Amino acid sequence: MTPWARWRDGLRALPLDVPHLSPAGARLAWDDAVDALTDAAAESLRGPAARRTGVVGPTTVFTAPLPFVAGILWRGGEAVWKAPRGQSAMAVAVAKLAQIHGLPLVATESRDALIGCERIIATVSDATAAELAGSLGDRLVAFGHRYAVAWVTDVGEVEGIARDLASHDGRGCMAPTTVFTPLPNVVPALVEALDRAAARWPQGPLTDVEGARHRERALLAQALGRVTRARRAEVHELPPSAFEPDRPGRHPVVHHVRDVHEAVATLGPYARWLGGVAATRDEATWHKAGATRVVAPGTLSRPRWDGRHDGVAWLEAVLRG
Amino acid sequence: MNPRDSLVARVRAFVDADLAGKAGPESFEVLASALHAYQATMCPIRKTMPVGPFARAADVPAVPTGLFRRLPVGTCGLDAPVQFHTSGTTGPKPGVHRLWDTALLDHAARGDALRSLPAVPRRGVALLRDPAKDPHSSLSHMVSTLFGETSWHLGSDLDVLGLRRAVETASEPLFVATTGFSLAAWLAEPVPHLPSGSVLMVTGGFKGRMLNIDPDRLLDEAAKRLRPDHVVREYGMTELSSMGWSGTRGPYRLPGWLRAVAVSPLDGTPRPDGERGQLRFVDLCNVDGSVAIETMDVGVAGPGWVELEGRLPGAELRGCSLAAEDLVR
Repeated sequence: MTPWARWRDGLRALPLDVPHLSPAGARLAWDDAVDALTDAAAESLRGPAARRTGVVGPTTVFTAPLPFVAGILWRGGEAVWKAPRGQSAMAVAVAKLAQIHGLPLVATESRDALIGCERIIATVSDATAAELAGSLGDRLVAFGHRYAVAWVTDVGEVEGIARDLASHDGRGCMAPTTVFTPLPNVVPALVEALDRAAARWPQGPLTDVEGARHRERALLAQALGRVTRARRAEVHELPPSAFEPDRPGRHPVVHHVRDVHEAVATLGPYARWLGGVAATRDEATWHKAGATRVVAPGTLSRPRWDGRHDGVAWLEAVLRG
Repeated sequence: MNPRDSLVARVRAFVDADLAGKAGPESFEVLASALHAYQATMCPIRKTMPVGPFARAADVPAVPTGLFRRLPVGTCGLDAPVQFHTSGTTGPKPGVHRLWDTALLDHAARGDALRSLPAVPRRGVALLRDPAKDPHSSLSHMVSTLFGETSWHLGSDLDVLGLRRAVETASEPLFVATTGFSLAAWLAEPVPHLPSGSVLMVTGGFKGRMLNIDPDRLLDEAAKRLRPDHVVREYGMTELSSMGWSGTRGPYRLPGWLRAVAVSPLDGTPRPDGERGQLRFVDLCNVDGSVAIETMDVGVAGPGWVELEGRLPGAELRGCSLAAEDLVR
């Protein structure tokens, strides 16, 4: 067994210390991320990595740097995992495990550690990416602002939507916080599925801004649509004209539309930021609308390791020496 | 008298009493409850809220400022004759504060400025858009209302040459009104000293911008290089009709018709005076808009004052705009 495989297998046993996720929620997200690091996917990676690559971790999705870091280490590069300030516990644990197995991974909260990196991978806003590109040039591989939606054409798909939303408590660009559907009976089933998911993977504490945004959107739904609550879950129904890709935690918005074309048209000026779509039908229409990934509900939050992120073949970018 | 005119008269009586240092003919809570009831007959969001009356200002339901982008908040509908727009950057549509007219808020703002500010020069120089060209700026409207003849020096860029000329040719003290962002842009250039007796007013933060400017350092630098006799800070926002005033440091003083409440961001529960939280304001001059609003600002509030600490962390960042500020700083 290679050092990389021993490191990968050891990741599952790390204690999880993740702000704003429940222990079960953190375990769900972590196991999903580690599960993706299969031998088969690793074998498909080609080309050497840059000598030293920095990966900037987000505040919202603690596992986001892991597939990048794993790819760099697999291909023999050095990796620097820059964690958000005050949130480096997981990165430090992963790096310590790597060092035990002789793999060159450093975890840090300091951006100064990025100075010597030939390549820097960051998931940041479009504006920040543009600003960083000025100083970092082609050293930067940036993944900008994205959101995900679900296109529900069968009520049974709500279980998968609930699982996708449970991962990272609805945070990040792979959480389908907006649900479009032509079906009249989705909301009761969805709120029940969300409630069951919350029983299995309890929701962690909201951040302050999520709390404020959640209350704001509930008021909007009260005024323009409907709020449906279960014990541990909430769904907001809004007319398509009120669509905005906001994401206050696990509570999705449902927009009732006639067909997929109305759903796509509803995206309006936000279409350019569309990322993943959880759907079992109309895949071509969603790709034409700009979706970077269209997969079945329940798998949106579990991307394949050898896949693409926001339409970018990120491993190729990482491995470019 | 129609219901609006009646309410305006009642609020004006309260404002005038406060300006005279007396108790109003009605309590703050009675007026706030009356405004809530009036607005609930027409405002699409307020009509879904609990019915008053409310024993405490903190209990008056507040409309989040974000909803001004998404709904015609208030009593005027879409065709209101006065429309002030927010400059926020989080969506394609601005928030809109709609009013039938500005007479009440102009009267209250003038009265409060006169008692709150040091001797106010009659000539103004504004690093703001000309309200004749941009009638949707509540800040430009406020400055044009409060001060005498004013020259305007913000278009697509800051008019640095015009500013220099306006300051260097001035033969009397100036009232210089600016946002923090425009002030920083001005100070990036060589700047003249202001005439003796001048007052510098700085307002606004850096919403949606990179936070690479420390506000205290900015004011210190402005005081050193522009040499105004006084520096004052103003706290207001498009969705409010009233504002707070402060010196270079410390809390903002609020007029009697404007109250601040800090609440829990998670559930909106009011926190005791002096405890940190998300800021709400109950503004009796908001007759046409929303009597109470909830901001994305964080701070500490008490009777007659509010201290601003900044924005809720992440308030300007959405979705995958993850560690943006963290990385750039």
